[in-house]
Amino acid sequence: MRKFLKYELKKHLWALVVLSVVCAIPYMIVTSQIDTHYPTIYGYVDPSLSMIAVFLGLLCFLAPPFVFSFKMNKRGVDAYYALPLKRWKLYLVKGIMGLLLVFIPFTVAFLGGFLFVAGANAESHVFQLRMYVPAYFGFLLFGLCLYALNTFLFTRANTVADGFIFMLAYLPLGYFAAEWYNNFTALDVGYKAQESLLTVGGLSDFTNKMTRLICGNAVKWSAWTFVFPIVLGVAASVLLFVTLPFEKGENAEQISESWFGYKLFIPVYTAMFFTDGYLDIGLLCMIVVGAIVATVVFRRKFRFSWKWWVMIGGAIAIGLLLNTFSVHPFWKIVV
Amino acid sequence: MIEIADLKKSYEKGKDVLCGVCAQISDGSVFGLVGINGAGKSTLLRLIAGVLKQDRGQVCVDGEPIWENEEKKREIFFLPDDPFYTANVTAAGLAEMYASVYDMDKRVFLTYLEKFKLNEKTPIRNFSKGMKRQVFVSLALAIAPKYLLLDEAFDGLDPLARLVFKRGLVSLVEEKGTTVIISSHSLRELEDICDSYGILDHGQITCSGELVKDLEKLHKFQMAFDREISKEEFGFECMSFTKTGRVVQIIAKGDAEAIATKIEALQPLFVEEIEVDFEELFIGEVEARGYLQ
Repeated sequence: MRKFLKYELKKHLWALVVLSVVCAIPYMIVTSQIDTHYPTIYGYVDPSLSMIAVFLGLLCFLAPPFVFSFKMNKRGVDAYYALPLKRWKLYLVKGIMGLLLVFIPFTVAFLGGFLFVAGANAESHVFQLRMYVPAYFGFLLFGLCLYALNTFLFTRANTVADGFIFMLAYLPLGYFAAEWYNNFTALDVGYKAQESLLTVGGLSDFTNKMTRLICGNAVKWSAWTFVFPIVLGVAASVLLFVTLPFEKGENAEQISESWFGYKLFIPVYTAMFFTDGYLDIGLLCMIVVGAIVATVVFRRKFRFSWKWWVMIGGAIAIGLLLNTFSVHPFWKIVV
Repeated sequence: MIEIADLKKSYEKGKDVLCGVCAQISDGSVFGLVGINGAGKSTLLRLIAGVLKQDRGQVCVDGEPIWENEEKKREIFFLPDDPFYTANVTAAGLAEMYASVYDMDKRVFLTYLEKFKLNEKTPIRNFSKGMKRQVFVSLALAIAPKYLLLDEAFDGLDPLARLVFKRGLVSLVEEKGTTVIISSHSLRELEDICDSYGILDHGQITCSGELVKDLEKLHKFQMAFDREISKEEFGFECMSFTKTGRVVQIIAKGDAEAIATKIEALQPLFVEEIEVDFEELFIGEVEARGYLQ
């Protein structure tokens, strides 16, 4: 396994170098431009952590396709599954390689940026440089969780395109679920908690808080920042390996039938959007068309069997039913 | 030894690709796996290689189930019909990947690349179909596994490359005792190297045995008559019956002398026995199962 990991590292060396350069150069340019003597209009000098967080987030979406797309290709399946490696070892090596594709470019960029900030900051001491240490490890934690989640979602698909759709479809799912909860119960989840339900929400909140800490401001931490991303990350990692024995090589290039994919999010999104109190005929049409388009993408044909129509119809019916109990039921809306 | 017992695999509910395949492939043999398109040859090889998991039954290698068996899989190399390589990988890069999981002799690999006149530093994507095949064939011969599974082995190889490959296979079998399972539609090539065979049809191995022995059981006669003659007039079961005017070719199973006596009774102008080849055995078998009617 070690030899195979070494080979994978060597194979991806150029990708690591290119990604590191692509992340580090813009970030170093931006950090070199920070004028630590003058506060911004927001009252503090911005250490541009949000830029490195965006890079980290993007890497977490790019790395899984980079290392796991072999399982979406029949030829790749033949080659990799025939190797004398147990599936969990193969996935572990590929997973570690993907993680390195996230961590190494991020670390290079982060350190590069930090050196510029620390150098420019040497006299004025505007930034709390020691805060870069928890910021770095915190980013790694959020990166690990997001990468684990995206890897699990991506590997549920049988084609690369479906894999990207799964990762992106889940991005706002928690956020919309909280929105639905608000509409349904009139109990406000709270914006902060709701924002952290985005798959990148924890990372975004952490970035904002670390920015304030680096600038010497006080921060009130919320458990929401960490709980949801960590729970999702751990659950995704466990599920990835638990579901491995059920992984079928022959599914490569086929329709993505996973229950974590289209089968889940098409009805859930359809029902959730219908639950929204502010329904009008235009929005209603858009949701129905959206559900049909998503089903066409899922089944890869325009004619699909009655059970998919039942799925869409059922989701609409559940959505409308729930809507009647929501804070703003559709019959009370004056057009 | 590879033992396949009651193997079943389906990709769709109710449509079995393999249903109850049973076979025993003894060590050191070269087993030719043949069948019409879609018979399930590639599926069977993938199951033996541990790429796919069977729905029922078992594939055992030296008495151990192959599924998720790292140790046994190290003794198997599977060369699929359309092998995988990444966008910029070179022959050397590919060898490096396989060397990380197999005991591979790099010198043997380079020797074969040289024989095929291939540059190890050229990206594989720049090679023609046959040249790509040559790279993978070199890999298979350099890994020299205990069990070698070859799908559509000769596909794309020119006659010279086929010869190099066949010689390589024969020396592997002789020197290392490698067991080879080889699927191909080039039955003439298979006949050169296989000592046993299995015909896969309707998800089962319907006919198998030792190639030379089974070919000896078949007799092919070519004869000419002074009149038109029908199949029924021969009075025995013909596996194959071809008529061009008054010239007839038949293939039949059984005692050669008894068949010849029955033919003589029909008073042909001339009659001669010709050697039967593997392709004719295969065609005879599939015709007997209702194909090509």
